[in-house]
Amino acid sequence: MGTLQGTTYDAEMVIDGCPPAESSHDFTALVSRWAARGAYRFLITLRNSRFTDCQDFLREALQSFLFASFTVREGGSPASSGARVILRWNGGSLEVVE
Amino acid sequence: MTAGPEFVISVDRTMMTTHHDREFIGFMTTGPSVLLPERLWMWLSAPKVRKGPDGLPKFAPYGLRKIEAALQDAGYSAAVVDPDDVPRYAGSARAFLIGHHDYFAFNPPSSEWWLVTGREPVNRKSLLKFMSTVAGVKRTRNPGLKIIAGGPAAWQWLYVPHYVDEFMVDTIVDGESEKAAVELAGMIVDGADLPRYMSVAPRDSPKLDEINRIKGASVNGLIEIMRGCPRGCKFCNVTLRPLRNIPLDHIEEELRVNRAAGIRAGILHSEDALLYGADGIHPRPEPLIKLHELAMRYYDKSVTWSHASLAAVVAAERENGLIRRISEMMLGNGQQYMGFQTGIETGSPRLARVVMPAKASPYPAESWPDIVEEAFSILHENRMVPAATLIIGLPGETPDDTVKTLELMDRLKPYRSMIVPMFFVPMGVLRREDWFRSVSLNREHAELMLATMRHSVRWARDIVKSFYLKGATAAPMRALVLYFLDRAARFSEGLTPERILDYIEEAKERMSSERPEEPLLNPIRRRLEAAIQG
Repeated sequence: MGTLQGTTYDAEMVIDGCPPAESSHDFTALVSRWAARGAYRFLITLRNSRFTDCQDFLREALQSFLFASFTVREGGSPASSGARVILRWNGGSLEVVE
Repeated sequence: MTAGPEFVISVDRTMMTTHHDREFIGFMTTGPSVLLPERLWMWLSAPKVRKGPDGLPKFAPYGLRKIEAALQDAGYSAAVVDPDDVPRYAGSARAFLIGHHDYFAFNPPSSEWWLVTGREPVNRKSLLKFMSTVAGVKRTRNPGLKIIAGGPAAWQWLYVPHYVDEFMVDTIVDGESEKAAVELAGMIVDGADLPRYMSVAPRDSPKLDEINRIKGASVNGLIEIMRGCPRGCKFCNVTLRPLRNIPLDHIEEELRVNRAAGIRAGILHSEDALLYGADGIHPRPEPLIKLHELAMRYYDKSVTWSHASLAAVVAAERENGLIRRISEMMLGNGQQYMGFQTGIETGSPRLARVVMPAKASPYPAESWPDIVEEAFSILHENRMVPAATLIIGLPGETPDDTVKTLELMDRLKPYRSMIVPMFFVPMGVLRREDWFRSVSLNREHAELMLATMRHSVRWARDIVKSFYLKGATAAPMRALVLYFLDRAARFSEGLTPERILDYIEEAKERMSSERPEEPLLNPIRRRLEAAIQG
């Protein structure tokens, strides 16, 4: 679990750049794996992109999970601890780069 | 820091209104003006709300009152203000918060009226103008103002990123927002960066003791008696939320607030009012009778429900004669009738079994049309008037399903009710700008639309003449509504299914030249499609 400004998150996903909406399947697969282990509070950190530029992707990605809490922010320092991955679109899929 | 509240809460005029103290008139705000000039339409449907001596609206939408209460209980200076006063208050506030049930007219019935007429509904026009004003304040007078958008239609912002930018929205909050609003207020006061989007998971929804009680009166005395719904229909996300019965002492506190503001008629809000304190999906007499006795002590003119399910109507009456008992309690004291919303959705047992298998519970889904007719009959005999919806074009729907719904419409003719069709538009289609071109209606759909229009116009005239808009003060509005209904009746008599199909084609043409943004569809539709296709 990670904590940011007093709020606890099960996992943080840093999205580097702005993936296309089609890649939301890769995102949902990742969230599903975490969800299977009981995670439901996710912090999404956008790096090198703006929220409104990424709304196609975010809409597809976030609205697939009505059971979950998502908090999306633009940039910012990492949550204090807990699971964290960095995701980047490589032209064919959304890959975990870190 | 400021003379006014630090956290200003408001919404555009189509919601900040009592609709002349008649909730049903509020449906007019979901369409464009028809047969009447727009200014008159707006006056009829959304008059200005009265203000108290403090200059604040005496009545405000219940959802906004909940956020106001949450912030005040957490120690923040927060108030719901009239939309006309937002420029004055927002100029020196820390944050502006807005909640809405249909920001951009993407929900039914707004989207239906938009598609059928090809014209922008007044609620959308009003909201766009209002948000433009708020953004203008931020741009010119208070750059530090944080703008937060929430409410049941918060999801719609994800489909209009250009409006998120244009209206300078900082954060979108989706889900039950009381706790999120307080969290955000803390971040604003601390000067922390705000998230751009927050969704509240059902399991993070406020527990009973975390639900704040309103401090100011609500529009038309609406008070929440339950949250959540156990029926699990695939087109509804309320069903994901935990079912909570609001305790009577909590309800009484809110009734007291409304009564102190002079409200003597009100609405008990629930997805299924007859399930208050129920044993699963079996209505129980004791909690229901106590609830209604309590409500009637404060609302001595009338008490109504927001929603109830038709299966619960049948179960309540068959098992305990409860509809008759409640009707005798409520309608014996000057109240003429009771109206509420409900869902038929389809007359096809096959489709009912797929998309809403528990809608008929405790009875089998296969008996759904019989349950609907029995419920309508019970309600008619007890002077209760359902305003029911049908869904046209559900995934997997066949012409035979629509014929079944038409047959059910025929069986419902003798019963006083309003029945309104809604279009189901597939998610994939709605990502495109010309989504409305793909709304494909067949002749059976057009027949069904015609049947619902004739049914509803006929019974609406009966309702207005028998029960609604009584008294001298309501006379001008009653005359206008009857004029409108008479014209609508003549119009519907001359309609044919072919003409309906032509109208919709013409409307699509108009929309194709006017529609500015990529439309949408809500996640409920996605779930439904997935469930049906899977």
